[in-house]
Amino acid sequence: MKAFVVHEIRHMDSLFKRLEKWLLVFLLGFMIGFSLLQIVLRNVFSTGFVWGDSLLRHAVLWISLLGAGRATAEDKHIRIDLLPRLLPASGGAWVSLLTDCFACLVCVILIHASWNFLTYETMAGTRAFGQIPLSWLEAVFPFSFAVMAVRFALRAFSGINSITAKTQERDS
Amino acid sequence: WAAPQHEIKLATLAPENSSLMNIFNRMNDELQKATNGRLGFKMYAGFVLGNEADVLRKLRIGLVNAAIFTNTALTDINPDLRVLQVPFLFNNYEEVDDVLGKVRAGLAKGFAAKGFEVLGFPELGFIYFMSREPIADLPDLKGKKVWAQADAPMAKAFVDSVGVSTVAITAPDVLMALQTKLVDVVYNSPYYALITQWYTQVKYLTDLPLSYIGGCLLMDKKAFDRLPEDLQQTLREITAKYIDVLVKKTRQDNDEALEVMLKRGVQKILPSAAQAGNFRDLSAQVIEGLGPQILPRDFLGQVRSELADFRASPQ
Amino acid sequence: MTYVISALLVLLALSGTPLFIVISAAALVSFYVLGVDLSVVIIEMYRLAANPMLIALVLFAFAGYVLAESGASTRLVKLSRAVFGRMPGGLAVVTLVVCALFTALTGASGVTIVALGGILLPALLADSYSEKFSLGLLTSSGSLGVLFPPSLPLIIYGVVTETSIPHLFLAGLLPGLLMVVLLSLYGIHHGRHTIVPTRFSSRNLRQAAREAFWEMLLPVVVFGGIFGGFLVLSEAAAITVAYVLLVEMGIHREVKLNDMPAIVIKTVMMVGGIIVILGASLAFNSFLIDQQVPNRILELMRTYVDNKYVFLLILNFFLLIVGCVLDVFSALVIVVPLIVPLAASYEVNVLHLGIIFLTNLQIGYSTPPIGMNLFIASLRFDRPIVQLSLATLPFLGILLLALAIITFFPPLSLVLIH
Ligand code: NA
Ligand code: NA
Repeated sequence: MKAFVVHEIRHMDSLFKRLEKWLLVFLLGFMIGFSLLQIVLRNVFSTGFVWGDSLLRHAVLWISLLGAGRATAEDKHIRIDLLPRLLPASGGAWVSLLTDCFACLVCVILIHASWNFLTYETMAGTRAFGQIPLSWLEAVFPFSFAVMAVRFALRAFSGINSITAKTQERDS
Repeated sequence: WAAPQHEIKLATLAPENSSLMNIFNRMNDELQKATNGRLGFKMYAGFVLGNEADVLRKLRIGLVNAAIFTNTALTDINPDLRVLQVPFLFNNYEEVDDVLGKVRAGLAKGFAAKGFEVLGFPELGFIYFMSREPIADLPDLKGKKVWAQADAPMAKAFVDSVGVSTVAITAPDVLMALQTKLVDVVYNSPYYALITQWYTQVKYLTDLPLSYIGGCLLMDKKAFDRLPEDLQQTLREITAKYIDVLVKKTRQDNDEALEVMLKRGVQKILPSAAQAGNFRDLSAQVIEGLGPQILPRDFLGQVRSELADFRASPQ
Repeated sequence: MTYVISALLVLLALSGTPLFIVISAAALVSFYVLGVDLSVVIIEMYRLAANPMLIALVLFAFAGYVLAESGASTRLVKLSRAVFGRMPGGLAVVTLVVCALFTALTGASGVTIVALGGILLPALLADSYSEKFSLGLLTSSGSLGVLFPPSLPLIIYGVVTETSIPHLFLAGLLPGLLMVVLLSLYGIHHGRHTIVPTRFSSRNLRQAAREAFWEMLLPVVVFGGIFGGFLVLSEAAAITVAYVLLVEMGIHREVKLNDMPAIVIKTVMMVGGIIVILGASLAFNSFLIDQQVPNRILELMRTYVDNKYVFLLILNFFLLIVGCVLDVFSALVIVVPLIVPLAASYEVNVLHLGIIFLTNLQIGYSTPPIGMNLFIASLRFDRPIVQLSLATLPFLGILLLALAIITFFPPLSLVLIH
C-alpha cells in the first residue's frame, strides 16, 4: 500500500518535471524578451513600463525557487559531504537518509512559514502593478518548498529501499 | 541605561551617527528618564532591516514595534496619503503645516483601523526636479529621459501625460545612470541629493516644489495597547515633541543642502507664474483621470477646500 | 541549549545536508526561540526580489552557459596564444584583467564566475594550465576588480559614509592594480613552468582574430551600451544573451535550438542553488542584526584596543569574516556605519578605510570554508568545496599580502588624491 503511494508520487513528480522544464524555458525566454522590449521601447519609442523592472525581479524569484526545486531532484545543491566520505558505505547510506529526512522537515517548516507570509500579505492587500495582488507573485514560495519537500522525501524513500535491499542481500 | 522593562524596537532609515539619529537618541533618553527606565527604544538605524516595504512587513509580524516611513511606502495602507503627494499641490511649508494640522486626526483614524498607532508625522520635505538641462516649463521635459520611481502611480501618470521617456531604476543606480546619461531628469529632496551625491551629476534645480513627501511614525497597535496607560500617554507626548524637533531639523537640513548645492555650481531655475501654472494645470488634469481606489475623492475635496481657505485668509 | 543546536547543525552540514537547508534551519530555530513568527524567514528571502543585480546574474549565467556550449573557448585560447607568443602566463593575465573589468561592472555579486567561468576554465585547461591553478585563479578572480569604477559597492560606501565618490574611485585605483599585478606575476611564474611557448606570427594572429572576431566584439557591445547611456546593467545582460545566441547559433552554428532546454535547466539549477543560499543567509543575518551582534563585537574592540595598527589588524580579521558571512550590500549598510566612527577615533582616513573594507570583503568572498565565491565556483564547475578551497590557497596568500600592504601603507590609497 505504502509502496504504491510512493510509486504514484514518483510518477506525478516525473510528469511535473516535464511541465517544470517548459515553465522554466518560458520564464527565462520571457525575461530575455521582455528586457529587450524595454530597451527598444525606451530608446526608440521614448516609453516603457514603470513596473517592468518589478516584473523581471519577480521572474528571477520564480526562476530561482523553481530552479532550486529542480536542483533538489538532480542533487545539485551545494553541500559539504565530509563525514560520509570518512564512513564505510553502509554508514554513508544511513547518513544520507538522515540528511534527506532533515531537509524534508526543514522544507515542511518553510512551507508553513511561507503560508503565514502569504496570509499576512493577502491581509495587507498590497498590489504589485496594475491591480494584481502581490501575493499571487509570492505564491511561488510555498509551492517551491512543497516541490522540494516531496523530492527530499522521495530521496529518503530511495534511501530506505536501498538500505533494506542491502540488509536482505546480507541475510539471505 | 539598563534595558527598560518595556522596550520598543524602533526602525528608522536615518543613517547611524546622523543628526537625525542624534534626535532619536535624545528622544530615547528623555523617554527613559520620564518613565524612570520603565519604557525605552531599541533603535535600528540605516537600512539594516531592509527597505520600507520590508520594515512594514516586519512591523506586522512584531519583529519591530515601531518604524518611521515616508508616505510613499504607506499608500496601500492609507490611500489618503496619495492625495498629499499630488504633484504641485502645495506651494510652501506654511500651506503644508496648515492643511496637515487639520487632517492629521483623520489620517490617524485611518491607520488605527488598519492596526497602527500614529505617533507623529515626520517628513522628507519638498522634492524638486534636478536636471542636466534647465527645466522651467512643461515643454522643457519633452525629449528628456526622466527617472521613474516604480510603484508610484501618480508620478507615473503625471510623467506619462507629458509624453517623456521614463527610466525605471532603483535609487542606488540613479547616480551611475546620471553619469552615463541614461537619465537626464531626477527628483528628490535637496538633502537626499546632497548625501547621495546626485547633485554632482546635475546642473539645474527647478525651484518649484514638485511634491510634498510626508512621513509617519507608526507603532503596531497591539504593542501599543500592551503598554500601561500612563506609559502610553508619556510615549505620545515625548514622541510628538521630538517629531516636531525632527521636522524643524529636516527643513533646516534641506535648506542648508540647497545652499551647498548652489555654492558648488548647481543653478536654480525659477519658473514664471505662467510656467508654474502649466505644471499645476497638467497635474489637475492628470489626477482627474485616476480612479477613486487610487485617489480617494472625498479626501481630495477636503484637502483642496482647506487649501483654498488658507490661501484666501489674510496672512 | 544553543551550543547543542549549533553543534547539531554543524554536524548536519558536514554530513552533506544542502547548505541552504542548514542555514534556513539555523534561522528558523533562532527566530522560534525569540518567539518571532517564522514568516520572518520568508520576508527576508523575499528581499531577493528587490535586488536588481539578480536579473543580471540570471541573464549573464545563461549567456555563460551558451558560450560554454560553443567553441568560443577554443577560439579564445588560439587568440591569446597568437597575441602573447613566447610570453608565459598570457591567458592567466587576460583572465585576471577580464574578470576585474567585469566585476567593476557587476560589483562582486558572483556574476563574474557565473558568466565567464564556463568559457575561461576550458580555455585555461586547453592552454595547459593545471586544473588546480585554473580553479584557484577563477575562484579568487570572481570578486577582483571591486575597487575599480564604476563598482556599485564603492558607490554605496561613498553614499553611506557621505564621502566623495570620485575620490573613492581614485583611492581604489592603485590598490586594485596592486592586486591584479601581484596575481599576474604569479600567473606568469606558473605559466613559465607548464606552458610551451609558441612563436609569434602575424599570420597566426590575423587568422585567430578573424575567427574570434564576433566574440571579441562582445565586450564592446556591453561596455559601449552602458557607458553610452543606452543600457542599465540588467539590460546589458539581456543584450549579451541576444548577441551570444545570435553569434553561436546564427553565425558559428555550434549551439542548436534543441540544446536550449538543457542549457536553461543547467542555468536555473545553478542560479537557484546560489540564490536560495543568499536568501537563507539574509534570514540568518537578520537574526544577527536583531540581536545587534556586529555592534557588540565592535563595542568590545573599542573597549580593549588602543593602538591604531592593532586596531587595523583586528579590523582586517573581523572584516574577512564579515566578507565570508554577509553579502556585500548588507555588509556595507550594517557594518560601515559602525566602523567609521571607530576608525576615526584611531585616526584612520575614511577613504583608506573604504579601500581596506572592500579589499577585505573581496578576499572574504573566496576564503574557505564559507566564502560565497567558493559556493558559486563549486556549482559552476561542478567541483567539491574542499577541492576549490585548496586550489584557492596560493591566491589567497597573495591577496592577503596585498591586503597587508594596502592596510599598513596608506599612501597607496591616498597618493592620487593629494
Ligand atoms: Na563579480
Ligand atoms: Na558573502
